[in-house]
Amino acid sequence: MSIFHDEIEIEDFEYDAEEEIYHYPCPCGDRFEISKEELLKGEEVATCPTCSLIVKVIYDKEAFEKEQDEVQQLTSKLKVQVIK
Amino acid sequence: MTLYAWGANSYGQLGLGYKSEEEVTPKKVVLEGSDLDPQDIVSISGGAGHTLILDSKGLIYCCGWNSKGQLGLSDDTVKLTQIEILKEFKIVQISCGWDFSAAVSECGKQFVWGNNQHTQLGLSKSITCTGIPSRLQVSQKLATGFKRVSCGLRHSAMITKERGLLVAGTGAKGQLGLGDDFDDNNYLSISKVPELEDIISVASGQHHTLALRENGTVLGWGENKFGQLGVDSSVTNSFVPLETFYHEGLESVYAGWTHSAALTKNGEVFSWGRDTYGQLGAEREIPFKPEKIPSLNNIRQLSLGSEHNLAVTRDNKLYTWGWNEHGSCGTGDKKDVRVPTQIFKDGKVKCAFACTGSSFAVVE
Repeated sequence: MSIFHDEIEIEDFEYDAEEEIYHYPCPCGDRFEISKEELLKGEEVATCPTCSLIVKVIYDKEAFEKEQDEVQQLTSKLKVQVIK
Repeated sequence: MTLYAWGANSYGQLGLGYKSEEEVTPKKVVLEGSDLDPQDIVSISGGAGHTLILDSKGLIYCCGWNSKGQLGLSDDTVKLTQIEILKEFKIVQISCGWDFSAAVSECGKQFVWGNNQHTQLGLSKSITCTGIPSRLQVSQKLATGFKRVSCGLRHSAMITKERGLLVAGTGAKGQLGLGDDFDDNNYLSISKVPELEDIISVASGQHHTLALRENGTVLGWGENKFGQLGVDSSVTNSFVPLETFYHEGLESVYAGWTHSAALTKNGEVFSWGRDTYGQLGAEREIPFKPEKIPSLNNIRQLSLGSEHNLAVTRDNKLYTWGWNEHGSCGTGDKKDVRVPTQIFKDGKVKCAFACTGSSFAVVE
């Protein structure tokens, strides 16, 4: 038996763009969290700040990296346009 | 009569006047300066970090987390505060989802507030959240009024005056029961579950929904990863209602996050679903199969939190079981409780309520 409380797909997480953190509800009332940076490193364990439960994040690392690259390119393009 | 609270308190949801990680031992809730009298309490419901208390006058009091307006007040509060805007309606039932709230009035009006990101309030998709309790208006074809509502993590289900069922929120895991070709984008914010009638009880879990028909048939739909629908977990989801259990004399159904229960008129409790932390209250060979909890008899009131449970007997004893990391079971420690265990042995318990990670009891 795995030690994970659950396995949750990345699509079910909510993204906090300001903090760059993905959140998912924990049964204790708090939220499991994992940062974008951790996901890019290939980390797949989201932890709850107030209890011992952990969940495995189901995501495709390569697809996730690609998506982040695209977002970044888009953002820099927008910035360039604003500057112009 | 005294109101006690225990369990998770990160957002001040216990109404103790302060935030703390948890209260492992039941604490007295001081209600000085509030109009709420513990002996008038008829129901308590709690989401991730907020609590609603309903009294017999039809008034709602709230405290805790208010990130999405789930309190129905303009600010956060760690002290039980009345939702003034609703005081002209006699509220008879309340339910909290993760970060949203709903209430039904005596005359059949339903009010909703909090997060609507997944249209879990049944309000238009353009409203992401509201801190002002709003009346849910639906066409006469769907319902002429509401009787009961049950809110889950990101969806809600409501019994209409016609005893049919309306659902709102995300249906990505099948929790709305609207059919195999379901897609959140193709549906309105509120819909009727086809072909369901004579519904007398409804319960929404994390991603599943249970409904009880008057004849004693339990229907379940949504996620079944842990057998929470009452069928083998090789069926991971159902997008349509499945008849999963029948027992004569069933009175009501209940849903934790991933476990489920039913109470009979005789006071027997059946449980099924996930059993990782003792949620089912008994050792089970086949956790998905609804079975009676042998040590519980004469139960008059049952309540399920996310992973813990409370039951009150006809002779006013309170039993608790399940996940206990935040002391939600009130046993004074944090060890999971595998079999129903009595707490408040010296007092008569009038009623008790399990919220997401916390609990309340009114004790004489």
